[in-house]
Amino acid sequence: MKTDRTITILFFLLLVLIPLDFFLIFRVAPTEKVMGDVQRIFYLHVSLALGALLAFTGVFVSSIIFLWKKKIVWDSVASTCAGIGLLFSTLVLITGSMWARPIWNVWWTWDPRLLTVLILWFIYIGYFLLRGGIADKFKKAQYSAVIGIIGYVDIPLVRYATKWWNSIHPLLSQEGGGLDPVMKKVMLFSLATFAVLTIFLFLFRFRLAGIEERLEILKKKMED
Amino acid sequence: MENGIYLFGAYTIAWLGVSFYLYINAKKQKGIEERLTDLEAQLKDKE
Repeated sequence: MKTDRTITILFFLLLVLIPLDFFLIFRVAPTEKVMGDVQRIFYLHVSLALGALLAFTGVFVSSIIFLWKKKIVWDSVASTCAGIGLLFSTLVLITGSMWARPIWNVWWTWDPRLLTVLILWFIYIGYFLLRGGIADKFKKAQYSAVIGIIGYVDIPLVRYATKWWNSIHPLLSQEGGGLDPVMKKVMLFSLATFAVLTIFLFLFRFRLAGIEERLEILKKKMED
Repeated sequence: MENGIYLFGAYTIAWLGVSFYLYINAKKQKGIEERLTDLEAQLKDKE
């Protein structure tokens, strides 16, 4: 009941935040001098990346807690987060590609940042393939927790790929990108909106995991 | 607007992706809730 109320509150909050975010991105943020209007993909692309980061951090933390406490609920938390992380990282790859085409003149290039994100994407595709292939609930949870923890090792590689290797991917502002102050404020608003969206999606999907669990218990009862 | 197709394409795909995720899960939830109601009724009949 408490979760339902939180989901409703977040839904109505997003109904305000998302149009406001669009307004700020398309009406308030200045046009970048070199790239032009297409640079506005940046606000979406980085925010989606933040959503993916939050979700994969959720997988990492809940996988550790599952291996420690051995409670199946933490596996539900991890798989819910992994689903959201996979959704967001897929969209990061697509939006990045759509930004790269007019700027770099290619849809895809084997840049370290792009490659490490693609590896991350494949790790979590593997995570779900593995889950689909194991019938035993506890074993499935154990193996996925191990992948969830090992997969997280790729996150620092994604973060520092532009620093450690020769990369054509733009650097973050703290690393010398020098964002315009208005652009920075719009970016922060966009990040906050996507953080709320990530929490909303998590609660929405996690409630479904609870209902699925209830159905399984009832099915077992019927069989007995 | 120069390169507008890429800009609007990216925003459209991203928001359609999120909406599709919500739609699929909402549909799944509806199906499971219907099945739950059926099973609960069957269980009551059994008792």
